[in-house]
Amino acid sequence: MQRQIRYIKLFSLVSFLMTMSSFIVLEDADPENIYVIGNSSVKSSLSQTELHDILYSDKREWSEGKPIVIAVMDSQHPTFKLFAQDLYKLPSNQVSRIWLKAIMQKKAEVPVDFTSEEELLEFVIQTSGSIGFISKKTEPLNVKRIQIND
Amino acid sequence: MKISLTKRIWLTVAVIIVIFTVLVVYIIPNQQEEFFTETFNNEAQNLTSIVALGITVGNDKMNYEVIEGAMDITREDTRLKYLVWIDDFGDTTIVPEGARIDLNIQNNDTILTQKKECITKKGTSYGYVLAVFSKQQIHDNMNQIRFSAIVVSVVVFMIGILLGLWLAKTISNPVIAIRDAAIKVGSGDLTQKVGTTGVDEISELSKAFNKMVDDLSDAEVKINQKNQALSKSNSDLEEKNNIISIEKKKSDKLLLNILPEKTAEELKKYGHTKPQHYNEVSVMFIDFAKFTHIAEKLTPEELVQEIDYCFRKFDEIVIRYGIEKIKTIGDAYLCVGGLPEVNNTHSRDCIRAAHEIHEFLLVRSNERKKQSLPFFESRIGIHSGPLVAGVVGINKFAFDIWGDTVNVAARMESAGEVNKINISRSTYSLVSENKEFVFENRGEHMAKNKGNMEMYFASIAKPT
Repeated sequence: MQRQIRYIKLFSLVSFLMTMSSFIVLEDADPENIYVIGNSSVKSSLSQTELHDILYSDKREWSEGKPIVIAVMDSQHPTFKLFAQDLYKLPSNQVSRIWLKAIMQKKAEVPVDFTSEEELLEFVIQTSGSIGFISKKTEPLNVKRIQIND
Repeated sequence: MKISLTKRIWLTVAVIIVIFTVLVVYIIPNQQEEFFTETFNNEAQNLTSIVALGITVGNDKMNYEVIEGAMDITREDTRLKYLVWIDDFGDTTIVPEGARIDLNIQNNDTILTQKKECITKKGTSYGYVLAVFSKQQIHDNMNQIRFSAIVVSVVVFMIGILLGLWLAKTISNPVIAIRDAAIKVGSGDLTQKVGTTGVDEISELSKAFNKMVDDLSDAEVKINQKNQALSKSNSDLEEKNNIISIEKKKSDKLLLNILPEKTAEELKKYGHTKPQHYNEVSVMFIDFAKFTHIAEKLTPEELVQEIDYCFRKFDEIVIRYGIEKIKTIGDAYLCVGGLPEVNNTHSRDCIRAAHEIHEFLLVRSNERKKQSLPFFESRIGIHSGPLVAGVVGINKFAFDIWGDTVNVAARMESAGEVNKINISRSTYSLVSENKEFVFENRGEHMAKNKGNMEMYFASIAKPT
């Protein structure tokens, strides 16, 4: 009986720790100032690794083979700076250089950029396989918000 | 140096082929190579510049469409071995990814490098781009061009040979045939013909040549006909000329019978003669002694025949001594030495002729004596002095002499003796020193209308 109680305690502890740890990861992975949104055709959540691979052009297709279309705000827009800081942890010009190298080596398509987040939202809604990044100042209405988790 | 037409054609074809070959195999490929190289350099430079521009714009404006377009172009360019972007942090981006690169690579025969800095107008540098191209494509192109050039040259060479053969056949051979035919025509063979197939200038030349030969042949026939006619005319003319010449000789002979040659020529040339004065000539009179008595013993025909015989002999003798016969007056024979050609031997010529006439008459008289026929003996008188000679009258004109010398000569004859040569003092003074003659001074004798005149008998000295 005590062994059972001990197992129950250990299971509870493990469950707690797992639950706690999941809370901790979720908080760290979810961008602070940016919503990651996607077309209805893409999956609802991405792992950190998947997001990293998408941002660094290592992943260019969804699992079903559909090409990944990245929609970002114009580099002059404040949201782009937030995007660079939150997702790349780099200044925006460094992000630009990463993309430049990827394009040179044909590892990435040119991201589609917008001057207004509403346009970006509309593009993501309309474009199959697209994934976009908007500031949290804009409500992601009628669009799939992608959860980033580990 | 004589170069035949065939050789000229071959030489021309050969020169054209050589020039063409040099152009096609050497000059044009070299120019092509220069052009390719220059174009290649420009393209490589442009490509590198576009990439550098794309990197600059991508960094500066975060506009990636330029670099995407530039990279699409570079990926299509098979000459590009690799492209490296060395950014301002020293990081390298290699296209294609994983290519082995050499940042210190230099231009050589197989490699062309282009380097371009990625810098904005404001001077912000984002490193530089190094593009490395292979020249293999140029070499391949040039090898292909050279191979094609050689093939073309061989084809042109073959065409050139065929062209040379064709030219030789269509130009040289007909021209040579025309030349050979022309040589034979020049030698007189007007049966020569050359082929006239074709419609070119050579064929026209051949036709013209054949027509020329035909015309020449016709002309020759006509000329031959005219020559024959002309020859007949010439023959007729020659015959007539001969007749005329014979008649002329006859008339000249007749004229010379009555005129001295020089006077006859003058008369023929001018139609008249000018009387001529001679300072000193010797006039000789020959007269038959007892002519009337002898004439009575002969019939008129016999008389004239004998006189004619003697006078013909006199003519021969005086001509031989250059003495001019003037005329006969009955039985008298008048002649002059020293005209019309003036000489200084007239006096002794006359004496010699007179001596020979006596010799002839002596022989003749002996002949007639044997035949018991009458014979002539003569008196001869000679006087030397001036006189005038000329032709008077229109009809039956005659060369005659005038002057006192003639009268004195007649007196010498009449005062002479048979078979003697009676000469005057003036004649004697001209020949007295001549040892050929012997003189007998007769002293003075009465001459009709002249009074006493000193006279001499002259004879030929007998050889000692």
